[in-house]
Amino acid sequence: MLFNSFPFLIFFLVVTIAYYVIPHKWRWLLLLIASCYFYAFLIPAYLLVLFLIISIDYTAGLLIESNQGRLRMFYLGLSIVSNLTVLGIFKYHNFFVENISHLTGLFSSKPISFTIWELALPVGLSFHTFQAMSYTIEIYKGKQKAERKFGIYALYVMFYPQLVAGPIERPQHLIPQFYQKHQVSYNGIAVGLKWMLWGFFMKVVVADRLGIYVDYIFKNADGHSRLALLTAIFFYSFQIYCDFAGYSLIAIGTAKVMGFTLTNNFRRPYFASSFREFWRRWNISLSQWFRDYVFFPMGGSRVSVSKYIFNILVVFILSGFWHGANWTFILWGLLHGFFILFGYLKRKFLPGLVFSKFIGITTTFLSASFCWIFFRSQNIHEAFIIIKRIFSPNTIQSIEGEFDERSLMVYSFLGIFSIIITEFVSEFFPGRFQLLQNPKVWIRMTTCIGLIIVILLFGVFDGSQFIYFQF
Amino acid sequence: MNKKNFFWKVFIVLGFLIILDKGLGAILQHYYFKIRHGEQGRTTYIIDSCNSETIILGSSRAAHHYVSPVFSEILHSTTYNAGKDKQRLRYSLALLYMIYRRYSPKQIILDLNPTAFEKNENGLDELSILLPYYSSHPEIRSILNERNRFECIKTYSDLYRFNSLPLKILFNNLSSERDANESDGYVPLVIHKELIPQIPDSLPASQPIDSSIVNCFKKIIAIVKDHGSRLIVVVSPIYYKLPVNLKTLEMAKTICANEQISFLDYSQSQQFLAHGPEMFLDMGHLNDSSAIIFSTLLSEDMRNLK
Repeated sequence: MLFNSFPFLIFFLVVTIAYYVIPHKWRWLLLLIASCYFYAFLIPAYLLVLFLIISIDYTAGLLIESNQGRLRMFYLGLSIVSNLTVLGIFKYHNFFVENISHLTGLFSSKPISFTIWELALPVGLSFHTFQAMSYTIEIYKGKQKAERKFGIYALYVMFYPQLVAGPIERPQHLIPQFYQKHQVSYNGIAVGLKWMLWGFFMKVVVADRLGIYVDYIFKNADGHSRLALLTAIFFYSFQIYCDFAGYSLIAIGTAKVMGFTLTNNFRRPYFASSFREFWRRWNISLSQWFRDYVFFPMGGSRVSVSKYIFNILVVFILSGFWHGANWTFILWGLLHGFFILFGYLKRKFLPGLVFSKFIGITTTFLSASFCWIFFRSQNIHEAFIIIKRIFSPNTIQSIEGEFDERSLMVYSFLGIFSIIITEFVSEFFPGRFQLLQNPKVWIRMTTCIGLIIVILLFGVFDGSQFIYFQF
Repeated sequence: MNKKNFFWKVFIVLGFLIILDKGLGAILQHYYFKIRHGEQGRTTYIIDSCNSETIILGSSRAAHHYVSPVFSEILHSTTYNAGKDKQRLRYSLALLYMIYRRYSPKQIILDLNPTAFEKNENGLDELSILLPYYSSHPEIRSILNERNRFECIKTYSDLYRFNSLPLKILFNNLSSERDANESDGYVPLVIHKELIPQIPDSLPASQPIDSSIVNCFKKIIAIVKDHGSRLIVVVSPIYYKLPVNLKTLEMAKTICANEQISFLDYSQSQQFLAHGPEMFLDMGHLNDSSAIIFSTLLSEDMRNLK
């Protein structure tokens, strides 16, 4: 089920009301059934895949906790390998076989050919396998007790607000909340609804509107001018942010309405003045996952310069590969790694070289936008065509298009402007000029009404998917 | 915040929302129907004012292939081209429902795309341009409700019906373009795109037939016959080598034969294809001068029809 669909509004209302009406002891069951329904709305058969992962990690958790020494490590390894195998089958199989086939073709006239599997990727597979893995890892580390109730553990992986696109929650944070009896908190409901409203605004008014132009340009990237391509890349930077942050806000708001607190996944990433800071603000739960489970075990930053460089590159290549089975994502991750290293080397060897915050924010945004070219392109070739056209001196300077450019552009820039202004105020004037959280009730209510009207008038209601669902 | 306070606020927000939805919706509706030119003005003119004896319906191929003055002159019948870019048979059916509510044209020319009956992956999004007419023309509600299961609920909101339109309404009310009633609906295509000299062998991969579109075609025939108008189904030239057994054309031909409707297929007419790409703007569209030749040819053939 998509958050930006009419069925979700009905589903949300029914589940929330039922949640508060039924006794506390049955609420977990209601949420589990609701989560299964939510997931099955997309491809029902993939519930089986989800339950396979859940069963493996539930059993592994119990075995890790009840055993000592190497057996613990063995069961952890088994859990991780199982999760990665599921991920590998559905997400990476075709990528690997195509590349092996291509590679053997370079050395032999008869390249090894494999069967390409026509499997649809279960929605949000990377998110819930990573969440499941964090459970067994935390038990292994002794920071979490194995959950005895299968239903509660299943709900930890399947909790519908964050099932398909995160935030990736740690067990210590989410599982205890299923045991808490949430009383109706009208303040909490109001806050949650306001987050949802802003999330919907980001998704349907800004992200999906920008997506119209971005899709049009990227569909035929080599047929457009430099200005059109630059505009599309600029738009895409905001499209992907508003799409993913919008989803996260709806997820966090939905959970909040029922009394749950989810991890904040975004903190105004385009106001980061370095890439290191960018990753502390963008997809925070994923960054923390890689930091805690990959980067730190490799030695983190308390190692030699060469080892640190190696660690960073490994983490960012993996992070890129996590997003998708395509060289474009790997290159995207690698570029982010390089930018992180650039900042690290500058701090280490040129500590006196300090730029103003404004320059830092601008260069980080421009570099991140450049990296999005790889993220959005279908393949490396397309990405380089775009880069070549942007930097080619002979590209025509005009925005061309076959649809009503004028109003689309106005809506798009107004959307971006509203996001920048809101985030600018939150970043540099925290607690001031707030609209949705203003102490005056009439300002809060007027803002809510205004947002709903803007969504109705300027939202794109074609039921488009969230970009991060594909991961 | 206590329960009473919360529900009061929800009640107030909903109350204001309904008032604003209706109020702003009425303002937008007023200014939308004041538009006399551009895409919106043309559609409103066709629906609410046009009284031409011959109406041309169809997609962009209709809009750009049928030069209305040529038909008016040769057939001695006032003609308006109501073809519309990116629209398909459902749009034509909706237009017919609305036109027939007001008057019965003598003749309807329906341009049929060679793949018109095939499933379209974009769904029915393009029909959203008819949403402003939802309340004033109840006869099209069943067509618009096909867009998705919840459309009939969404359209309770007056603002939703004008989704994405406020700027167009503003620009078109401020602009000084020629009114739609001063034109004949024909939209010439003059920009030339480079086409390969050889006619492409086949259309892009075909999709399965969508029975709801076939039904729509049958409904068009039925409504035109019910109102005593004459219907001519035409397939205009296309820069592709079409297979002889193309499903849409075969089915359309059979349906027209059964219903005793004229079916004129110029899709592979050598008068156009023999000249290579020079008569076409792109694979699917004739250029302006070829459109005049095609319109002359068609109207002369129509004059000779019984």
